[in-house]
Amino acid sequence: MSRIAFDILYVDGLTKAFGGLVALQDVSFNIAAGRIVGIIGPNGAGKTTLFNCISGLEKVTSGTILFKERNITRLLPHEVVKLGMVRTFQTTRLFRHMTALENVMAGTYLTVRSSLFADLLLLPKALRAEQKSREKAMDLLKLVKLDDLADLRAENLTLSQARRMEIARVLATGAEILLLDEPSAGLDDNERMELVALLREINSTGMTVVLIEHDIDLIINLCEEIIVLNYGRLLAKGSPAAIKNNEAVLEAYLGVSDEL
Amino acid sequence: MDKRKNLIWFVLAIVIALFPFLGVNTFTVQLLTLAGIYATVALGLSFVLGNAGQISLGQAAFFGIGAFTTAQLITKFQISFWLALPAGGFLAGLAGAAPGYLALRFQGHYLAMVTLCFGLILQILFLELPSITGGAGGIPDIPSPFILGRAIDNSAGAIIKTFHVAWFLLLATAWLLNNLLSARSGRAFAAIRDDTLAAEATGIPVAGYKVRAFIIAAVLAGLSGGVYCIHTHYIGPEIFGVGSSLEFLIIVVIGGLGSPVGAVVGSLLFAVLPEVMRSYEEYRLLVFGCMLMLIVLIAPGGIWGLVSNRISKVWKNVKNRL
Amino acid sequence: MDLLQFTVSGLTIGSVYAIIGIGYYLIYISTRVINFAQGALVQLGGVVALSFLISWKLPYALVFFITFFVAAILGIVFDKAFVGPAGRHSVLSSILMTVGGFLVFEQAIYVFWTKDELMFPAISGELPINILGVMIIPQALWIIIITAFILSGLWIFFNCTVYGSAIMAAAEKPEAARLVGINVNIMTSSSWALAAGLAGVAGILIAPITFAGGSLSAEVGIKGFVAVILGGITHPLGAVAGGLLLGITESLTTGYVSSAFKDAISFGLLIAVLALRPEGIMGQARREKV
Repeated sequence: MSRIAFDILYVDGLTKAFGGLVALQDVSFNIAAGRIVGIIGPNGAGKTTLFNCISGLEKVTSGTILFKERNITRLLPHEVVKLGMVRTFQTTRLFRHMTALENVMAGTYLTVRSSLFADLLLLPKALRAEQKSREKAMDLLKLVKLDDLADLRAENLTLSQARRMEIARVLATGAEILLLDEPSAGLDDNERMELVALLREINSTGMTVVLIEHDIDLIINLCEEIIVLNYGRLLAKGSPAAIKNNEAVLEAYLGVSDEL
Repeated sequence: MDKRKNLIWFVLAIVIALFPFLGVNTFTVQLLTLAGIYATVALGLSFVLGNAGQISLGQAAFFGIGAFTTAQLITKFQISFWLALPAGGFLAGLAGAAPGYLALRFQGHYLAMVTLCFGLILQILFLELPSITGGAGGIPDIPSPFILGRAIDNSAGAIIKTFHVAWFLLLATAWLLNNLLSARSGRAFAAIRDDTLAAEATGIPVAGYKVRAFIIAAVLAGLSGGVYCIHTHYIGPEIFGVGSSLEFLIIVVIGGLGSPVGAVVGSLLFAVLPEVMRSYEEYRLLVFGCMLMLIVLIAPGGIWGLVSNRISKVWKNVKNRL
Repeated sequence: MDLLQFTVSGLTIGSVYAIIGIGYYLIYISTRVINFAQGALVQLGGVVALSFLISWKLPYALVFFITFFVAAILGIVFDKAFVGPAGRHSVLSSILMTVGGFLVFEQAIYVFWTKDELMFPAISGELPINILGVMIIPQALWIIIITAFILSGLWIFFNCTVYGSAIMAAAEKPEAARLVGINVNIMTSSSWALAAGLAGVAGILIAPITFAGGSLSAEVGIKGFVAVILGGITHPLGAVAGGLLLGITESLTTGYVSSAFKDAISFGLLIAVLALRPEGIMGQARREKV
């Protein structure tokens, strides 16, 4: 696979084994900056494991992950976030005792700096950081249309609201690439449409978006490029049109060839 | 809002300054001094348990490190109390990093057991390293810092000054912690407590914060230990064992986890209640043990949790009627 | 010959650690709780047994059974009424509850029995017997024999009886156990009962050596935890391997290094093992699911 200069993410020969079970085998692909890319595959294909490896949550068995030309294969999750890549999880993970606003403010941890010392003494630096963090979080809540619920405790948000809040929270980290693990799971058709619009809007600002999805229509409608995983291997990668007509994909993933 | 908050701290400072002069007898002042010392340790432990979501069953060890350091510096090296006190806090903080790093590997029950063993090890060292801690005999005759010469001063004046040291230390540390919790670092702690994985994935360096939480709590315990040694003028290894660690745990849980007011309420109760029911001294820990179990079962927010709930309900009713 | 002598005394105390450790193991695999009150149950076993022996003048063998049942019932009540409900709040609550239990049991002994350490009669005789040049007190022999008896009993119980296998099934795969009609609640209670009962029995065995009451037996209880962690808390033989290893290590440290730091070394060993090999000697590394 050739490497293009503006690839923001480059995965080469990624293998992950749990004991004898190989979850990912020799997976290689690249993602160009500014793209919106979907990852599909049947259950157990290794999609979430792929995210776990890229985001530093799981140690890879072998292979290399380059992010913005830097080798991030052995970094800790928070270090990966610091470099500009952030993820969400399949189930929503909220700081449930905090308000929606505070959740997003927690996301500004890396972008609005202060120090333990300044925080302890409530120095002007800490107060300024607090103010800035609040403004930034409020802007992001406006973007995901949750600004009127800013003071609601996170545990009281609906699923759709919680997912949007998570997106605001990951945006707050100042990331350049978002890895979203099934952001549409559990949403109804209306909420899915809203999500698609939101992701388009975010992508239009130059943000690279990678999402795992089960909803094929959503992926084909939204993504410029699709990566297909099957039994831990990369089955295909290409434009929605190409994937739609890829024999191997139709056979392995959809089983029935004439469903699309 | 901020101004009103500052006013509360200011009023508290005045209350503490004036309290001993309101015609309270010296015995009560001494009792409250002890409560203030406990409360500072409890404040740190409550922070570890309630705010950072970790656990420590060996907190008395840091109390001991602070006390022995301060006492030795005063008695053996003739160093001023005011320099010895921060030195004790510093050493305790240094030692506090150890369970902090253990907390990176262990959670829940395992962390509890490991910190318990850490406390047991230090308990043994306090007893078996007589050159540093005075061994079984401890360190007697720790002089008061408030008079010229090096003697124990049990005058009312000295007792009041010790009271002020203990309670102003408590007030200052509570203020600092409160600041911390209301700022960026505080949110990081809260995020880690609610969902460690999500906090890490949001870019918060979880490991660093866990270690910091233990260090902060250890420093508070160490400073309290320093004040404790000039309050009692004697320290011995039996005071800093795992039994005391459990007592601090009782204070924090009964008072209310994660709340500075709870730590103070618990400490006052723990120091004052035994004096009120003096003739039942042997039942003291049994009663507190039962209280601990009951609180965990029916009121996880502790006594302060119950009281503050009630207050806010009454307040709402009053507001609605006006 | 010293070495042999130390090894024998290590095996003696190690056997007691093993019995206590099995209790930690049973409770941990069936409820994911480490029962901090286990040490107080050891202490309680000694004191209760002493009352039966001295005040009620019951025969020694009977006292073993009665103490076992008293401790077992206490264990069931403690789990059902306190630890279980607290665990539904949070892990921290269940930790605090077992710590509270430790305190209450221990203080109850101090208040209602005695704060002193009491002489406890040995099963038979005090005079050491010379076996191949090693001086062994009869109680040590009894401890090793009874432990071997209990361990083989447990092995038969868990491997050859329906009830025993049901307890294991309920602990390891509660959902599957429920599906085949096992009452998981009763099995969990059985684990607690067995664990508490064994702690009580351990209390009787150790009492003639450490005295009944006092804080010594509580410390033995914590050592039982060190033992099970050393051996591996997920492996059925972990407590036995860890207990014997810990007992021998301690006895050799006492003999060759220093008796003052014996306990500090055990506790340090625990922290080191946990840090380097969290699954213990016998345990297998398991994958945590994110």
